[in-house]
Amino acid sequence: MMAEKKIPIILDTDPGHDDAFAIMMALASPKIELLGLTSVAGNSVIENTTRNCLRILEKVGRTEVPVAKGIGKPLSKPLIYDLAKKYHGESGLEGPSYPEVKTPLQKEDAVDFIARVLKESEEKVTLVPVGPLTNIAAFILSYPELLGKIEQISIMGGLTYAHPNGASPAAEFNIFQDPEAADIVFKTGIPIIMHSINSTSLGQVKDSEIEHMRPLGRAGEFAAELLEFYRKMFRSLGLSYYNICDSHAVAWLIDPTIYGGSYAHVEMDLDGEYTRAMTVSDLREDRSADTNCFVIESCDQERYFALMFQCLKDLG
Amino acid sequence: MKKVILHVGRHADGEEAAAYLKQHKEIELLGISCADPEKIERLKRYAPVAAGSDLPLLSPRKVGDYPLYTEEKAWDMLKREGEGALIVALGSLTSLAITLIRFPEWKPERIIVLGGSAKSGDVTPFAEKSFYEDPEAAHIVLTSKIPVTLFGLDSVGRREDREVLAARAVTEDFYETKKVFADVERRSPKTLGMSVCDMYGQLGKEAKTDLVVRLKEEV
Repeated sequence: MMAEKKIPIILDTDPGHDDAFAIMMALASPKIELLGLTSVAGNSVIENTTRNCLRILEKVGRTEVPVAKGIGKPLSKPLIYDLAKKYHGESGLEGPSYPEVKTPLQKEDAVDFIARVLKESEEKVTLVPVGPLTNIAAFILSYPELLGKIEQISIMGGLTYAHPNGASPAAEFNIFQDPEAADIVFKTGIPIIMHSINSTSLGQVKDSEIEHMRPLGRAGEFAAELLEFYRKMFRSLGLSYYNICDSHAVAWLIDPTIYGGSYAHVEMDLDGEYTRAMTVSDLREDRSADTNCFVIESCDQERYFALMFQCLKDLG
Repeated sequence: MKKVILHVGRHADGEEAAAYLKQHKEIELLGISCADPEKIERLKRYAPVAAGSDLPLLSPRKVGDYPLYTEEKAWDMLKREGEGALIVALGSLTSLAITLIRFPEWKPERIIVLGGSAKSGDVTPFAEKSFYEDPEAAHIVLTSKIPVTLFGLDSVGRREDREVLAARAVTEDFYETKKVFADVERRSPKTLGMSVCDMYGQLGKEAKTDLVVRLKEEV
């Protein structure tokens, strides 16, 4: 039986509890070839998110995956992370205990790392950004001649209607953190798959799901510890439910049939009094035919969690 | 010896300034940043040239043909050579902004910017050409931690020697400055690219830009 072709990806991430799940799914799935992690500031400052990438790889024994340090500040505004600290804690990945990090970083920064991987790859590479789009925009500005080597961009970000976990009534946190970067990314014409705060928050994590993860080995225990902390933080903010958002951007690549969605034109608003950082998506029935984005709208929660459990188990 | 890098953005000529900086006995011209392939060829005789970008930051960058340069990228040169150096910035500021985006902690000694204006514009009633070309880039440079000396239209106007004046500012003391908070309007369509210089401290923000208010008579 011929081995199925793997999808080569670079995961751009700001761990972040749900980022950890995206990373673990990418590590575990035989359908994904994880070429590297690039860290970005968002859920915490860049020193923390970078360290957390290494912590996660060390926890699950996969330190052969290269990690390149990204940019510590949004393109043209200061970094805000007080909001994220309420969910992710001081270091951005509070909950489990971690030994001192030993794994070294790549010598190149994230942008040069992405450039090298794209140049060396024979086939196009999928970018999977699950944090603010700072690194991706900086890559586009620095290496526009390499845009043809990007297959598609599967992002966790954006908002299609007001949501309790949004940063504002019109904007989701990753885009809110760096709207100019999102603007640059959405204008490239490269196919984008948008996993909004809305579609990624359709399924709530139940306590039974945490208990299902715990016995699944080292990765399962790590996952359970992360979610216990995450659950505690959400509850302390008076929110009765929470979800694992980022991993959908990876799960879609592994099994797109779990999801439903539609093509739409999506662009950024940078100027609105209320709608700055809104992903302006034409989702009308008789919408514009000039589409640039596949907007995810539904998710089979049972199959999504089954895939997640399988990944945690296979990761060992 | 003052270490200097010359940035030549869109709408700038750069050649006279480059020649001036190269021949000056107290100045070491480390490099030139430029994106126009034709200008790059002309400027090479003065210093090593690194290839930048003149496409405004928020203009669409799609899959397509981009100039293939043999020179190194401007932001790599600026990062490597720029610490402790003076940057003389002519024309639109896109490549300098990309350097700051890539390396937010980049700290040259100072950037002398020829552009903007406190009172009136040229290409629009309110905006000067190089700030209007890429307001986002001008915003990023002005609001960074890097000290900026701003030679706007009010001080040098359309003087034919204004590019050389900006270069002369490296060693010569022929201008008076006022510390102000300065930024660029990016949101309003009517005043896009207008430089806002808070002359009277009305915004209560840190005044860190050295706005050139007057040239001394002899100049």
